Amino acid sequence: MTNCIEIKGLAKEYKTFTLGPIDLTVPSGSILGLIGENGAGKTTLIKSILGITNTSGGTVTLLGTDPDHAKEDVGVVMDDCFFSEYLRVKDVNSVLSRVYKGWDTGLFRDYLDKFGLAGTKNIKELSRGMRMKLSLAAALAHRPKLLLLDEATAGLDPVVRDEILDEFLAFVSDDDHAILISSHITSDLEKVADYIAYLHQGKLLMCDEKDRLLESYGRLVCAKADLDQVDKGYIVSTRKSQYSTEALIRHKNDFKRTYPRLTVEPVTLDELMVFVVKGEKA
Amino acid sequence: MTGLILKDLLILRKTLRSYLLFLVVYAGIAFSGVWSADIVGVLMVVVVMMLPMNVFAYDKQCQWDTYGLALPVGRTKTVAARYLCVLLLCLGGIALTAVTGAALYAVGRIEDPAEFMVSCAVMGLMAVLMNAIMLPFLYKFGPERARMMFYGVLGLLVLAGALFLFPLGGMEWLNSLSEPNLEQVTAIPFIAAVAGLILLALSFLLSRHFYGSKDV
Repeated sequence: MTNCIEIKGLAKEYKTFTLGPIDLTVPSGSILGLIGENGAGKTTLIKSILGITNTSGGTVTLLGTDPDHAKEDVGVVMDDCFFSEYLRVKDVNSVLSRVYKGWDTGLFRDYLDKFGLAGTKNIKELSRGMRMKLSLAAALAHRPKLLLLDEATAGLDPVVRDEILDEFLAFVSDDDHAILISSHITSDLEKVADYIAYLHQGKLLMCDEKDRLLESYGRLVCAKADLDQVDKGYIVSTRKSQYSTEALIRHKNDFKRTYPRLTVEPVTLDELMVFVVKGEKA
Repeated sequence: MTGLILKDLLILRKTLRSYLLFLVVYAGIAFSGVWSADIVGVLMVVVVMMLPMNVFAYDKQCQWDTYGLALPVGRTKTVAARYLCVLLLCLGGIALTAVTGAALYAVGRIEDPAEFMVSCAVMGLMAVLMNAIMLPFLYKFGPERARMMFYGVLGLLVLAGALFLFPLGGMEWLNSLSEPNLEQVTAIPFIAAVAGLILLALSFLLSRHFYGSKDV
């Protein structure tokens, strides 16, 4: 298995924020979900991968080459439609067919039909969902091998999101393809992602296979006295309120064997994020 | 690169139609004899100056730059495409002014076609000069701030012109200049074209420098 994205020591410094250094790989045939709170650096990371923003250090290899040479095979969807409201849907075809060598007008029209988008419509008449579908059609019509998606499903209703997630799954059914998708909608990532990378304050806190991540962490809900008895090596962070005590624990299966009396519930990506950001470190 | 030029022209489609309507109205006024035919050339300069500002503003509105840089085009070609688009707009404006001038000559509203040709060339050069000054500002500061700065630069240029003309006798000195001969009239459009291209090339290098280091 080769890697579609290889990032080594990528860093970007702003006056008040530093991203990285980040080491990350996305194997071909997989979807990597990038999670993190607002301002964690997800968009900066995606822009740095594409070479849109200047970086302070590190290297990025896309599809075995440098980002500038790989762009022909990379499709991008950001959190909003970047096509001017003064354009019509079919203008996107006229413009991008002259930009991408591999642009397939027929495929673009197929996507428009599939998504129920009329070519003659003005972009300003499209709803947010329709604009995102147009962005996705534009990202796919040049037959890319890699998709970089920044909050591409944000603000969409569950039906549209489901349709788009199906497209992502169909895309990675080809073993040469891969997707990096950042999203706050962690349920979407739980549905489609193979790997999860968690970015917090510019640093990569976790990066692992999604199933292994969800399998190895758990949420312990117990009395404070019980928590005090637990080996601190298991506890990642805790959240205490007047009525309950919760802890994010690692090595869930070991923990269950060691403390069979305590109940450990599966943890969601949302809970994982909340524990890491808002919980007290053990 | 042609895709990016086409994109600029397509987003200006409606604006171009409106300006074309203006041109027809102003040409109509010139036909009626109320205003001189030179008004068409002046309008062309103003329109060709406004259009790139509009493109930058529209691009900023939809954050095109972020997407544009993700395309397999590169920063140099992206800037080059914008300059070629501006050049096309200038040439289109000059052509329209010349066609209008020919029509006005045909109905007897222009007595000296050579003078109109010189005026057309000078107006074309003005249009190119304005854009050559403005585009680096747009790349460096974005449409809102660049607009204000550009007006400031224009004000300074007018002031410098006035300070230059004042000791020579102002408009009286200008009017006292002898009419150009046929050789000069023929040479002026060529000189204007070469000067315009040199100005645009220098401006392009500056814009490329600003855009190359810009963090989008």
